[in-house]
Amino acid sequence: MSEYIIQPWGTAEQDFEDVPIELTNLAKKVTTHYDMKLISIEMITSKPDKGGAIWRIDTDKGLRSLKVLHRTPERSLFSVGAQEYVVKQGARVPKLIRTKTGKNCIEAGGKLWIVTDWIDLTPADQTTVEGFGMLCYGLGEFHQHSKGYDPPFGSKFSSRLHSYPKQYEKMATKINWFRELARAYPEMPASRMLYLMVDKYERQAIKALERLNTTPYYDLIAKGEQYWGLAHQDYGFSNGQLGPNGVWVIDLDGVSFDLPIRDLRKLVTSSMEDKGAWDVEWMNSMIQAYHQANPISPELFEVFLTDMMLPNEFYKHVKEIIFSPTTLMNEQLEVLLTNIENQDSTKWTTLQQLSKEWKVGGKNIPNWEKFSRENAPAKRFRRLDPVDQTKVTPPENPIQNPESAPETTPVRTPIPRRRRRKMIPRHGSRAPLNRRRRTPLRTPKKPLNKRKRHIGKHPVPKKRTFGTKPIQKKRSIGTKPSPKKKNIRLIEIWLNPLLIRRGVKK
Amino acid sequence: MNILMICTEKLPVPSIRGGAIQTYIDGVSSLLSKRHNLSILSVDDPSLPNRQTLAGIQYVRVPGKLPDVYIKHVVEYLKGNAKQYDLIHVFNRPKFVPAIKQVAPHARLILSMHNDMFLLEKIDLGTATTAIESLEKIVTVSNYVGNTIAKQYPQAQEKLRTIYSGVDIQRYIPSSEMVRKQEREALRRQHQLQNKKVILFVGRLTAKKGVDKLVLAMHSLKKKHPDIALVLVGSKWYSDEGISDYVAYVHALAQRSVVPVVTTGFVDPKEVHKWFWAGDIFVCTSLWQEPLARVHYEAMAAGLPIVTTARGGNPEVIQSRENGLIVQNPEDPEAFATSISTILSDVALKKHMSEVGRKLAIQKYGFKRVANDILSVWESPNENKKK
Repeated sequence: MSEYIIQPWGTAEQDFEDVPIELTNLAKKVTTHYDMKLISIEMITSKPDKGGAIWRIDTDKGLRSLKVLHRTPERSLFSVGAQEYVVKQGARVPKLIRTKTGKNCIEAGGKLWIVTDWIDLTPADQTTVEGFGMLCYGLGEFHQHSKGYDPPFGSKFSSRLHSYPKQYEKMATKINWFRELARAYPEMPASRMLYLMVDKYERQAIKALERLNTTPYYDLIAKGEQYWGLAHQDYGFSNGQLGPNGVWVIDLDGVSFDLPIRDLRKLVTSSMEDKGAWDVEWMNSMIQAYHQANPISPELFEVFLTDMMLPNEFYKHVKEIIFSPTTLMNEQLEVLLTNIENQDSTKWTTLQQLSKEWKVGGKNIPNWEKFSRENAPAKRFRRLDPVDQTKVTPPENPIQNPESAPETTPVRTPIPRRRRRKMIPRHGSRAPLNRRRRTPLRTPKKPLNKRKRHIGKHPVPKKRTFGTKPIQKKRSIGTKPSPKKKNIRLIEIWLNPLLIRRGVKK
Repeated sequence: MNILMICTEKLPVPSIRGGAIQTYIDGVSSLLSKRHNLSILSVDDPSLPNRQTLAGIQYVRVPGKLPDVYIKHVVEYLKGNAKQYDLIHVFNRPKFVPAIKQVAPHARLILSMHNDMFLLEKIDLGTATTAIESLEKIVTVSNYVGNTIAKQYPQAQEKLRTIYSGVDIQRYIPSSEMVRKQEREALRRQHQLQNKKVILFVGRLTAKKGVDKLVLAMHSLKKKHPDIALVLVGSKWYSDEGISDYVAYVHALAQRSVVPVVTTGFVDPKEVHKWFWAGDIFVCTSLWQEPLARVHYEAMAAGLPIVTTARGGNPEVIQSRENGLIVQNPEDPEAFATSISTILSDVALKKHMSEVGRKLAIQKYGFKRVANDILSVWESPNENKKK
């Protein structure tokens, strides 16, 4: 389409500065290939280190999302095809809007671009087990819908189905790299502790690989890619959010064929990290919620357990030191390592309990489908720019028939999206340690404040209280639900401004 | 004869972007084209035209990058042009052979195998069996590759033949020794290596190549040989200067090495011979079952003693204590330290290896010999020579 080839334009930490003007112009040019008139365009999120971005575009057909996929066109085509397929299967995933020539994506600047309607979404509650449960249920639904996917011709066939043994081995190898780096950089604050810890975690990785070979893994993967469908590969609270009728899944950029437990394992272990300690009841709830949407066979559960036995938590937090040992093996890492050690001590008893019985215990919600639907936000007034006053629509009937197609959705209010912050290797760089925005140990009383930085950037809609019924019971981590308390603490409203809604009718 | 060579979908020919197979084809194509009418089909490239005639060879380039897309265009091209070819020589893609046979039923088919593309995870049994049936001969770069294929597919045994690859002797052994000396001095001066014993590694920086073990080996090696330096020539992939986690790891280790370490990144295949001239000893650290790295021939031609690993086909070209040493356990950095030290400590041995290596390169590992071997396969007596 044009001569300009999209290249990365900065580091992951950058915001919306330095966006090349050619990119913005190209975005505008891309919109002309769709049957819509562009009224305004605003960049919502970007990956300057990779050359990806999302714009919110206001058009004569309503608010839409324009996205440039940063991977190669062949790889992106696999994801675009996947999105097309799962939507057709009935998944709650934004539908791809066709160009004037009927295509579901467009190539420009050496990348693929897609347009979808804006979907009104709310992050699920990260402080409650129900929030996690809904997310797990939504994940299960997504996996179900992805089964049987046949990628389009010309797309890069992406499968991680066969890579478990290699990946486990690689983890053990890289943990050895940490040992060598600790030895090569002994003066760094975290070196000593790291050096003392590696033996244990390396052994865990090796043991997990041995165990994998005793599980039915090879029989399971023999069933083939189409049998298993896709794993999202980046599923969490930003890519699985509550919308009309339940959990919506977005950002399918990185999907590939895989065992479904890959996504589930990541979700479960990161939730354990958030809590600060492994909790078998919590895990039970999550797994059971998932199981309702996409049943887990006993054989698959074996592989799931094995995957959790990998020292994922240790590896995830330490691996970035490779890119800049002189800045990243610092005091922060030392603290992190202490936390990891503490958590690890709770991990193994939990896994043992889990292996015995995972279908009993945990929060018993017999119908997660109904629960998700009922706890998904209804439509509401959206905050409009002054220009768009004509577009104000009165609040519609918030409860939708589950059978109705989830198409007529209003504007999406910008959501703080978790940006993946891959460390750019720079020698002597002062870049901070890339800690995933979840601090591992948190005292149960402190509220989660990780999304604080983003709240200020996005417009917060006015509080509307049409009723006094609280929607979700907020519980601090680890305590039992108190049926009597119905007060929503103000701080939680502030954290989740979009949670205020009208009473939910049956 | 009219002959078509079909390269892989990964990199174009001529090897402007590097690539082992592409360099191999470049090395033999001019010699082969003297005897036969040669065309080369490869993947397109923004800096190359889709049709080109250079030095009597017709180059055809089609879209590729992904194997499915590439084979589609290859078949399309053959539909219109297959009749003109007596022989089609496919490189490293047994998967393509059945499709090619279908569209060019009268051409003789030869396959060159440069690595493990016959593994079950890369090609299914049915396609592989059909491919082997359609092929007249399967030429491999080492006995190791041939044996691996025969183990899985015994019916291929009679068709297998090993043709070792080669090196551009004219480039690596210039007629004027002065040129070599000058380039060596210049490069060493540029990187402050004048008085050092330079240990050279040339290859991709990936975990299976194991170069991190070599960096670690420097620590103990320094104690016996205080004046050593390490040079790592290569990047994560041909023409790719991206930093993978492994490249970052090697750089991190190199920064703290007690020995000066020079990392050059990707060096153009046309320039890399100068690094071979600048080095004093060549080390190949491959941990994986490598088919046979051509860098061995290049090191021999440049007169470098070689330390390599007992993996894949690599040991096939090394005669222990003649042109190099073989390390049995490359996972252990100490093993490299020991072998390198053996050579560095013994001046006579080093000289002997250098001379033997060079002689072997001239006798056996020039592209002329490779081209002759290929010609003998093409012109084998039990087939018609002429159209």
